[in-house]
Amino acid sequence: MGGEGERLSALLNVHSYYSLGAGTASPTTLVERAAAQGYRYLALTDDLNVTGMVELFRAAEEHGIRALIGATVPVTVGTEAYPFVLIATSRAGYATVCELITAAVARAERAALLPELLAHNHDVILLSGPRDGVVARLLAQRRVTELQDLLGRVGAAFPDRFYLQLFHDRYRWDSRRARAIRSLAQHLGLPVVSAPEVRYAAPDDYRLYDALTCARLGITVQQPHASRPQNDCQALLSPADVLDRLPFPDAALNAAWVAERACFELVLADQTGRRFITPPKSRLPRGEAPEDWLEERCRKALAELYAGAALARAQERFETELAAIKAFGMADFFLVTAEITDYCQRRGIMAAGRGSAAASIVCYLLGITKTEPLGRDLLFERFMHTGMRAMPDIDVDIASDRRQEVLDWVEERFGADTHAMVCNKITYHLPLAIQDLGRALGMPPELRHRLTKALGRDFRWLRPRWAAKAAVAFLEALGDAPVAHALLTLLGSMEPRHARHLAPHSGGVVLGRYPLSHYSPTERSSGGSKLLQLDKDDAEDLGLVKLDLLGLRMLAALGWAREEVMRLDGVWLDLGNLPDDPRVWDLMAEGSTLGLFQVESPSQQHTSRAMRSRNLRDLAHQVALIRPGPIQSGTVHPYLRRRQGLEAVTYWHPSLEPILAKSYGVILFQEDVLRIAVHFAGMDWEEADRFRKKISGWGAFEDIEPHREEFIARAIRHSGATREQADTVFEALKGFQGFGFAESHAWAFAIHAYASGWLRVNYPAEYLAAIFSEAPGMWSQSTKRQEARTWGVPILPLDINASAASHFRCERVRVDGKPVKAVRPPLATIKGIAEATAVAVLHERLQRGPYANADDAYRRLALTREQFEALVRAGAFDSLQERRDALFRVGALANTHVSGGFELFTAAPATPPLAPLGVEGQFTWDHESMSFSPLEIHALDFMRSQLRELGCVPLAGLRRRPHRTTVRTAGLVVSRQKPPTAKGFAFYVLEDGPVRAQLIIPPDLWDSNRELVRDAPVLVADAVVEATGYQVTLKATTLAGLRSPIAVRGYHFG
Amino acid sequence: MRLLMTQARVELSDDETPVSVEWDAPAGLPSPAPRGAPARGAPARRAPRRPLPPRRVVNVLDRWRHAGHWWEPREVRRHYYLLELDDGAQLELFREGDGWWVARVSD
Repeated sequence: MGGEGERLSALLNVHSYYSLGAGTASPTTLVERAAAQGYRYLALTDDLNVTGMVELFRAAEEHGIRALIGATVPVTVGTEAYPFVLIATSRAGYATVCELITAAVARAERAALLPELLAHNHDVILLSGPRDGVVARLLAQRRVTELQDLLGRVGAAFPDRFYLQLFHDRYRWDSRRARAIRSLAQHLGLPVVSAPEVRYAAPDDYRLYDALTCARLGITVQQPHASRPQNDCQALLSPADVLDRLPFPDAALNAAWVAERACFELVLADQTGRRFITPPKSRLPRGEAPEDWLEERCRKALAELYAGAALARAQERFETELAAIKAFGMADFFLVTAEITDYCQRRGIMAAGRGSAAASIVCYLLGITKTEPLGRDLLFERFMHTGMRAMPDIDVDIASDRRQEVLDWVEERFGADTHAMVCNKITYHLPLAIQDLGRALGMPPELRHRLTKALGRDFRWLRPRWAAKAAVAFLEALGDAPVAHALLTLLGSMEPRHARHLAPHSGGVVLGRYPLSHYSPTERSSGGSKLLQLDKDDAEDLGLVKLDLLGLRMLAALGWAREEVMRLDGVWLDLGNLPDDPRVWDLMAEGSTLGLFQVESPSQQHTSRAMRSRNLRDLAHQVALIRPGPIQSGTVHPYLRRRQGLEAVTYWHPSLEPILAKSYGVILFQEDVLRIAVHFAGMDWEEADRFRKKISGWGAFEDIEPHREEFIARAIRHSGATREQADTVFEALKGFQGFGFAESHAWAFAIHAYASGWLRVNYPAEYLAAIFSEAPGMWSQSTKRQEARTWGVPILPLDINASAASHFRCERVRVDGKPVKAVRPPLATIKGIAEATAVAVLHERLQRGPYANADDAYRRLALTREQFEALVRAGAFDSLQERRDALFRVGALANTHVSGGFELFTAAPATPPLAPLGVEGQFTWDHESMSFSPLEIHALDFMRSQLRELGCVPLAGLRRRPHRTTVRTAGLVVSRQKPPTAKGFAFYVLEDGPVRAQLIIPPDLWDSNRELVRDAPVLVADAVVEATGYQVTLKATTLAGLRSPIAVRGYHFG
Repeated sequence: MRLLMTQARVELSDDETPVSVEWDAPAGLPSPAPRGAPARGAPARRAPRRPLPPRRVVNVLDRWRHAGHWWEPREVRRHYYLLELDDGAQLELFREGDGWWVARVSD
């Protein structure tokens, strides 16, 4: 280390944007800049956080510097909290840091206690903290004796590992302060270390740091605060610059010494480069080894599920899979997953494995998945192969309404120490960045909201860095106000993936063999979930096993429909083994798929008509077809034309026929990519899997162009293809970039899709009640209510004496003398009525009989005035009295009575004669209260004369219009989509009663009507009829907007 | 200590450190308006600023930087110096752009 004292070689107190509002740079940027400045070590010490650790180690490896990991932890001393900087010197030290952070974040004040700091000293180097640390602050307050005593205690707990931190941010008296700290250290016999606190990469980033600090503190830039930066000197500066500020060779030498001691390899790898995988221990009977128990259980299921030739094939496949599982040491992982699905089955919770795991016969035999893989020719190697470096995925869909019950059991079963959710790093997009930075700049909430709204679907998904692309929206909302320039400058300086906060992943549960503090701190999210500070990829890199336990609303809906069928008809349905019903396929062939799983979108409705699926294989293909990968690769139209016999099926090379015959010669699934890579280009499974990953993924595609020549050469060599053939295949694979389904996943979803169709055909009322209750899919309650008219299911009014608490329920009623099943909305569907309130109303009704009127309910129920008014406005008393009368009574009673008790002063005044509310009023109040109306009326029914005057043809009338006719029509906008893959085209759905039409808006029309298409609840369009029949498609040529009694929030994408 | 905020002329050493400072004396205290002017609301009169002789810097006691108001059209970026002068006075001086300003003096 000769010469280290002459220049600083280590940065020991660096913050990234994972300090969450107190840093602006990514770990990668910091490493790049540190390497460019000539540093040899960089310690990431984010505030109470290690989220950037894996990225830090990856970047450091790439740029040839050593990464150190630690954290800045506030510690309460007396009544104040002071930050200390901890740097781990080993894996055990890293666990120590994680444990201390866990203890700190468990408190409301997010600070550790001094005894905790003193106890967490194993393999950790401690620095006394920067400007707001205990040394600088107590010295400033001249509390020297107290400080000396404290430093003595800390030094004793961290022998030879406690350093007084020298910093210099070119603030007033920083030189004097550094000299004073050094003198104090010499007096106490403690070492000093040069450790300037770095909060951003380059000096110009101080503006963003200042704005984020203001946002974090809840102040504006006009307000002074001690925590705000006073200059731009906390950037990552050169060693010479630091030495100029802190000219103490001993302190610089100590920085190198600390860094040398703190170097250790965090991401463990065995000799073959594979990650260590540490699955949790499964529960084993009779003390068996996990591999033996797995084999025993699977062989038993083999004998039960297979026979004859199928059994031989299944046994062969099982042996292959078992060998791979044993090679990975993953038997425990499969058994643990089976424990969870077993639990779901025992408790009647709908659950099924999905994703690539559905290709595994072991998963099928263990009951994790419901898809038999051999008969469907599903590729096991997509799930797992012996060359794999990453963990195989097992995703389990669980009925969303009971997922928490499963998570609670998992925590209980595996222990709180070894169970947590992985986190999602929530990164800034424009709306969120505008809210935070705009608030810091003093923009009032209304202005921020106006700007956010002005972004519309064109710019909402932009990263802040590219905010300049949304200049038109800034101009619309802010004009030429000076704040617009400041805001745009700040946004443009943000890194693309700037992290704002951590949130629980939608389903990723980590189960560890050892306490999770060995890997990451844990904390409770606002929803109560126990959360790691690692996302799923980071957790995997550290050898943790992640299970995706995903809440799926459609499973909850299927479960509720099954319960309703059981309640009304006494039939228990086995939804995994429903009989084949031609009426289901007929329904799909009509395109009447609204409400069905995965095939209900407008594009899927069109595809349904073209596909005319007749079996589960067709349905699996249909589910997979409308995805970004197949859409972008131009697969959809060739597939459909070839299936309809309109185009000959061809293959780019004869060797591809066995792979692509089932999909008419086009690439449809991820497995197709894998098989082509192996069988056409001669890759092994490991290479093929890496190749597939380069192609797949959301948004962050790698450029596969550099692999073109190698692919072509290998294909020529392996398959005897010509250069042109190989090049064409590569082009097709390149076109498949983007998210595509695994075939096994498509099969798993096809089973749910068929179940939803079967229930729709056989038990429409029960199924409607279920999709109203659980709200799966894309359509609003309002559109589903209109669709109920097509299904022939009456919707009954909300009724305080008949409605259930939280679920839509079926009732047998007579319509025109005929018995039918109808659906009645529950009380909790009203905005402002929580489930607990609805249950209280129901309990009172069940205990003491029906309510006589609003007065009776007011006396019996201890609710707030707002809750009573919400009930009344939603029509809960319509069967007892007129809605306006009831509302008056509630208002009058609120002034004279305590609800659920006796009158305070005098009797409530009598109700004056009030005009009835009327149908339009009821409809509007219903929508305001419940987002739909049980009335069999549509918003456009109140606008008929206006629409007639405008010459609008009702949507229902368009079904008989010839192709390419120009019409003027109108509809309530119920869906707005502008997918990034659609080259600027937008796809809206207009609704008029139970009839809907898709409206295609070309890019030029969109650009000239940005505000209209964003804001208008009802659109009037001059349009060309592109397709007719059940599905009407229109291509707009001009647009106008109309006001409507209601607006539907509807589905938004893009 | 007096707050001045008056422009200064500074001679720098090779390492860009001030070695001598010259600035204008501040304007004098307001004095009554001349006879004959309206009694109420009359503008006060100030003595004009006058240049003081250059002062030699014997010690740079501290230096620091200040930046702010980046959200406004004119961002502030200043290099401050706390100087000990040859007569024992302490002078707080800053450079902003090409200009030098005396912020305050303690004598």
